[in-house]
Amino acid sequence: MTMRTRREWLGSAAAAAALAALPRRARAQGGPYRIGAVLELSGPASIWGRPQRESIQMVVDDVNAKGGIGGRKVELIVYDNESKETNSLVLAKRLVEQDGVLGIIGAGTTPTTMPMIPYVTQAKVPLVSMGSADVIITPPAERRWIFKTPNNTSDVVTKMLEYLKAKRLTPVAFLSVNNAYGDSGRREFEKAAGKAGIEVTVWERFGATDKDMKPQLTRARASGAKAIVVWAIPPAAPLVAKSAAELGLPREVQMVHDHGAGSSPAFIDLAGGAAEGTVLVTAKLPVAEQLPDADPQKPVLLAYAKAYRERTGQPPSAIGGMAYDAMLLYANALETAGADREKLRDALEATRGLVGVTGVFSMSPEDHNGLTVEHLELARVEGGKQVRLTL
Amino acid sequence: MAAADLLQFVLSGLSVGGIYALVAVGFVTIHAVTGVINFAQGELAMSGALAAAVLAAAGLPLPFAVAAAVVVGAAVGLVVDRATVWPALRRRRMGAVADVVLILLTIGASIALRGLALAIFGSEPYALGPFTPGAPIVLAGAVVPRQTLWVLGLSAATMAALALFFGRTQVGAALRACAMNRDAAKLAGISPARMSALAFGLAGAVAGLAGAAIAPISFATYDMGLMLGLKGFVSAVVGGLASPPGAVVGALALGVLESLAAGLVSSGYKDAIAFLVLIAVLLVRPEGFFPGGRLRRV
Repeated sequence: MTMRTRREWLGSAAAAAALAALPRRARAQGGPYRIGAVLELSGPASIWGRPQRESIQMVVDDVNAKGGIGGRKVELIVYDNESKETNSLVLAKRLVEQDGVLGIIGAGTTPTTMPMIPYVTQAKVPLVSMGSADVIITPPAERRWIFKTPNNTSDVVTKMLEYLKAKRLTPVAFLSVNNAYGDSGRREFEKAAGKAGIEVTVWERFGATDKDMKPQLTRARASGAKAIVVWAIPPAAPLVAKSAAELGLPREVQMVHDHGAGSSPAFIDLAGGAAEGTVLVTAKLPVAEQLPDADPQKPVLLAYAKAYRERTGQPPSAIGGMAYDAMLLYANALETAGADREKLRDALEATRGLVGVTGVFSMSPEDHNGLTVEHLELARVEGGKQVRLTL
Repeated sequence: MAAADLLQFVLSGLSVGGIYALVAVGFVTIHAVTGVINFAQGELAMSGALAAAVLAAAGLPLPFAVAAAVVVGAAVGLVVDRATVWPALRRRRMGAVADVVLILLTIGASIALRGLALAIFGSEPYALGPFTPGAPIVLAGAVVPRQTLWVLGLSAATMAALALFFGRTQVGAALRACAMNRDAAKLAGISPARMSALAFGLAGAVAGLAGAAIAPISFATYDMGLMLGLKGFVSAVVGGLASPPGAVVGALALGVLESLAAGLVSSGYKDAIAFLVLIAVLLVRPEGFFPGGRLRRV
């Protein structure tokens, strides 16, 4: 592609104008490394976007306070996609064509990430997403420029199956929320359960806005399951816990929830006492203080939690940690890459043993997530807290 | 399938149906008086639910938080009336503004209210404690949460109160007069605009109470009104859109049907059932199953 399209010319012209208007943004060699972020700062997913913006800014401030990377500061440009898919693409284009960023962080969810993928691939700009679906980084051949920080769904399933196997909880009933999130969990669980020797009696779905999940849970109980696996995020996830508690299920069967419940404090808060005894797959952050001291992530987790609390006055969440890691990956890669997108991509792919909040990242050309099942934890809800569970 | 499981499906259905009923009654109240289907009805309930949850979280005792929800619901109902129906009625020169325009206006109001709630309260769900805490009540092996009894009791109480109000009070008679013939009522000295405001305020108060009663079951979120409104609307249509008791029966039937569908057939089809019922009723009995209520429009 040698001819530049008219839009690209216009974009460059706009970028030049913007640069001329803002002389403080040095454009010569030695100016700041510019990184863009597309986040859900408003709209239904803003519950994710705000902690993510704070967390990214925390890394940028740290790096700049230490004098930058090789003497060059990092400049962050954040845009709000209003939780809308189409805005993600428009803003990615603006970041590349007007702001001339080296790399992009975003978006915070799978649906808002997907539209950006073809564009950044064609424009050859690295993208680090906080969306969780495996499809963001697979197949690897078509996702050369795309990376993501949350664990793969298949890792979460593996962790859950480890628990079910160790406690001989078979057969199980599987309940998932009736949307893309629930379906991806269901697909991965279906693939892996048989191999792990876990039998599934019934596959049930419920709506994300349902008020009463007792019919599905009654079916699950009648099926003779020893455990009920629930794949959902709040507010549906705590409603399942409430319905289960009303039926007295936690006394008869083991309730198991995925990381969508485990990674957000909202699950326990909203379920009230109903979540007691539930086993969760969770990120390391909620159980950071209970990790063994030998865990290389422990100091990073405690430092992040403390800094986040001091900065915002809010409790930290694993959701923010994923964005923290995205910026950490860039900062680490910029050390060797400098201001070159191709080299930056190569450096991201060459990341080895980078200790972040979500896990210890070791990327490869086939694996643009770089995390394993080791970076997930199991916890039981006791006294309104997540208590780390070891098998 | 054990008998206790079947009973559980029915009881779960009744508890969800009670929620739909509280919303459906509001639809009927406004439709009967103004001929408008107020699609912002779910959002009125949402306002009440959020108000109760936020105020209770701020330390207000529960009865006051519920009372505040009723006031907020009524106030938002009046605002919706003032912003949509009132100007349209004023501009109406012998039917120049069709009912369908008013309906579209209420859809606009519902979207505006949802956006406003998102801007003020954000997208996170708010929890509210049950009216009477305690273990759920066990009936022959099936369970009923205590809050469900509140929901069912409140829908019965509002239904009865509205029936008394419309049937036995002078203001209620004026409202019925508006429902029968707007122009004749005007000739008799009844202001349709004022009666419309009264109906919206009344429906808003009922919706606010509904929201506060629903919040302990489903949490309060900015977008809860959408599904509540749709299910409440289906219930009201099944009930004939004319009488509060018809709406309540329609709502309970819908809730039980959904629950049985989820329990006996497949949970994936639950919401489809509601809309299949709506289509079937509109095709087979467009006047609903209880068209001959007190508030017949002519």
